[in-house]
Amino acid sequence: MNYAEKKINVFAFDTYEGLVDHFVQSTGIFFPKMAAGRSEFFRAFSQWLNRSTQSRSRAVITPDPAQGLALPNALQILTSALNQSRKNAGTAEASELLEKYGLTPKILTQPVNTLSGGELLLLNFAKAEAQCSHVKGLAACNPVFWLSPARHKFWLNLCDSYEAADKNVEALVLRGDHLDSSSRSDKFSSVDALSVNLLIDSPLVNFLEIQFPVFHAASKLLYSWVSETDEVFSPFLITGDNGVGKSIFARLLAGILPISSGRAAIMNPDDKRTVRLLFQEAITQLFAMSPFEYLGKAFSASIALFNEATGLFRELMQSIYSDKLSGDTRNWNSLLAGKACLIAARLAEKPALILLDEPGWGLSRHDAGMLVFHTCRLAHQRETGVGIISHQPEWHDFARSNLKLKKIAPEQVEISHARL
Amino acid sequence: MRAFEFPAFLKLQNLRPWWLKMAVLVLIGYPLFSNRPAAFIASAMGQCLPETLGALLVWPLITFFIWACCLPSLGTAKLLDYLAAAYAMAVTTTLSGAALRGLLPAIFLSDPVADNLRLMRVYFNILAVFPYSLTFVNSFSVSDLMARLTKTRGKFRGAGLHLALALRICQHVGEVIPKLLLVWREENPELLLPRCRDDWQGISPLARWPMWVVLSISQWIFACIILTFEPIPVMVNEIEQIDESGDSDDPDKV
Amino acid sequence: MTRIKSKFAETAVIVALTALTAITTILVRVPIPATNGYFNIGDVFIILAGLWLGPRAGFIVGAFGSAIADAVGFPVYIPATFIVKGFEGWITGIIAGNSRSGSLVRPIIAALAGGLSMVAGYYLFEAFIYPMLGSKIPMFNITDPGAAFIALLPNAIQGMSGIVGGLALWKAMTASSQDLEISDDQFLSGKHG
Repeated sequence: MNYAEKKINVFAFDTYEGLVDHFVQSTGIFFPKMAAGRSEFFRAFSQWLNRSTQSRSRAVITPDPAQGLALPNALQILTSALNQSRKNAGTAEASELLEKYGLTPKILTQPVNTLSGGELLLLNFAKAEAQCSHVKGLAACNPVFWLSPARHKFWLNLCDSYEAADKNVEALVLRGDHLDSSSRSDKFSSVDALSVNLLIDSPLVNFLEIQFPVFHAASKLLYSWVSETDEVFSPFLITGDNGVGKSIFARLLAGILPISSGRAAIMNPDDKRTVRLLFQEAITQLFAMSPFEYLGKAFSASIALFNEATGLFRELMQSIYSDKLSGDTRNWNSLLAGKACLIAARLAEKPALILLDEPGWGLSRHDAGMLVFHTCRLAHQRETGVGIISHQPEWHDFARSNLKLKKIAPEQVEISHARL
Repeated sequence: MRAFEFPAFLKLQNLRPWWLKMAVLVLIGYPLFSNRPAAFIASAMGQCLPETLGALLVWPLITFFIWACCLPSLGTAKLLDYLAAAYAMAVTTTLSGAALRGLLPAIFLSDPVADNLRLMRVYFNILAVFPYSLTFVNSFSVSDLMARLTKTRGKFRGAGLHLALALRICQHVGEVIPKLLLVWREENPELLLPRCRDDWQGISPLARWPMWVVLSISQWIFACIILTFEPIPVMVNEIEQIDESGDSDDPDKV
Repeated sequence: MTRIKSKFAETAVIVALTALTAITTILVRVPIPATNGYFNIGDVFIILAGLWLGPRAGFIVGAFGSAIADAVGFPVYIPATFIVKGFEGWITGIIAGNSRSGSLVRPIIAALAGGLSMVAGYYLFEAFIYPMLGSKIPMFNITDPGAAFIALLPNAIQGMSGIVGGLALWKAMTASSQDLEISDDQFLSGKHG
């Protein structure tokens, strides 16, 4: 669609930091940067504590959709938003809004933190619609990143509501996002395939009931492998709908979630080689340190590996920036640098497999493509396979195998394999 | 082995309304809140058994009663887990008490029989109190209670907003820590040892491990604080917006 | 002591520290079987709250954070913990006061007082108050003076780690935030970090 026809201003940024800076300046809402290290964070947070007011003229959708939701459940969020414009709204109005944005009213009283990324974003849309009559406009960060293409229409519905009310909409995206009409049509370079043998023998994971501080019911998930062969080709893609269990499968493979029965591993002649994982929220893995602080801590007991990881980190950053068409200055404390550092630290150890969960989050398409391409190049040099977990379609052309996860029963997921 | 599943009506957490649940739990725990049941059972047993034996048997009986009441709610596996921890604590508490009695006789009672009985009581108390208290806590949902209190409309709107924000922050912290635990496990599969430790040869781990542990604790504390504080400004902004809209009749102020 | 202008921001920060105290206390538990208690690192956040946000916040974080943690597994200790840990945070905040001079003497004394009050408070409850209560209410009959004596050492280590950790955290959080009074224009002009 042509966003110029609507009253939507699309701002595309090369970096996550640029996007956050614009968001702060445009809305007046403080949003701390995480990759810059702890002292920078505390300085900024203390400054925020000493400020008396914040600007409140717009509805906002924050880069992490969970953060803009300050009340514990959808019912409270939506009724509070509706009641700001003096409507005596209740459950019926809140349910109506949820349904308009493709959500079931069953989630009305569900704790916010039990919703998936896609559901959180849609709840943000419903909240923004409820605020439409009493705010000057809307500032939305990455408004379609977490949504499958079939759900993009909900973003357009929200834009229509703001347009009808003659309110301004600002969409802040990373360059190459679906909303960015100025994007280059980057075609990711391809790498030679590397054969990897997986051993998926009906792994079952049991999630225990947690009662404190937030209730999670007990549940289980059984994966079944339906392909004739165990051999897949790196880089391989792990794909499937929102909430099907892609990230859980990756955690099983990486050995960080206990398996109750069955097995999920990589067939590996050298048992010492492991499976490493880059989380979707990779910034968490820096453990509140800057990239170089992280390397120092991770390899405090291995100087050889520290040197190896530092060298890989520099090489990865140099490769990404030498390919970069825009004139960005290199930033060693950015989200991109954080991800590159975490990948370098993992590759230094020469694992059998490295899994990248949504590697494109918070990166422009170009940067994401470069990061993954060079990761695959360096990994394959070390006989390390690479798996990409994503619902974004652009990785399809880049990957050599596709593992498609599909829910065949409420607690059962089928994994099929196709050579690409 | 498949654990035996007790019928739902026997589980205390399913009892409604909440005050009935509370009353039943207090009734079950009454022998732990008052000495009367123990005295009554001891005197009843004292009529057919020697006095000391009656006093000895009363606390195991009460402990079995508490376990029997907790079993359907906790299930066999959980009860056994709790009892394993309770036994370790009970044995070491009584043993340390007995050892210290020999070393520091001045601070203990002079009557050895009464003293032994007291230590036995401490032992069985721990075995009963541990599963009972966990059953008690597990029977109520903190989230449900908070959600009831966090109404954002009506007379106590301001207090409700503070409570709602508090619950949301608790939800957030409840997410941050398990996430950090997963991250930590990915980084250090052995949890208390670094994944890569090529330079830890010979005697050096003795010197380096404590430093690594101290560094890791500090890293954990900083990560917990930073990840917990990260969304606070945005959430506070949101709540202030809701609060101001309620304080003012002028909708444009928002 | 940092003064927070927004009441909701104050609530959010205090609740965050309370929740952190509760969860780290629950997750990082080293049992002390002698007293049916346990060693934990929750004191770091209590001392931090007292030093950073003052006596009221220190009391709330200490009393509620630790009591909530005790509710999971050690409910018998809730009354003792509520009083002892609440007092720990309060006394730290009272002594630290509004020490803006940059001197570390008052914060160190405040943290030491907080840590020591915790050790003394638990000894008092475990050695005397609980055994006394236990004679009337069987539920409290779970410790004795001998066990309380043994627990002095782990409690002292816990207090010490709370003092050192709390001071280090407070220093890290306040070191880079001198001259905090800034205008909104300055804040939005990109100097927010």
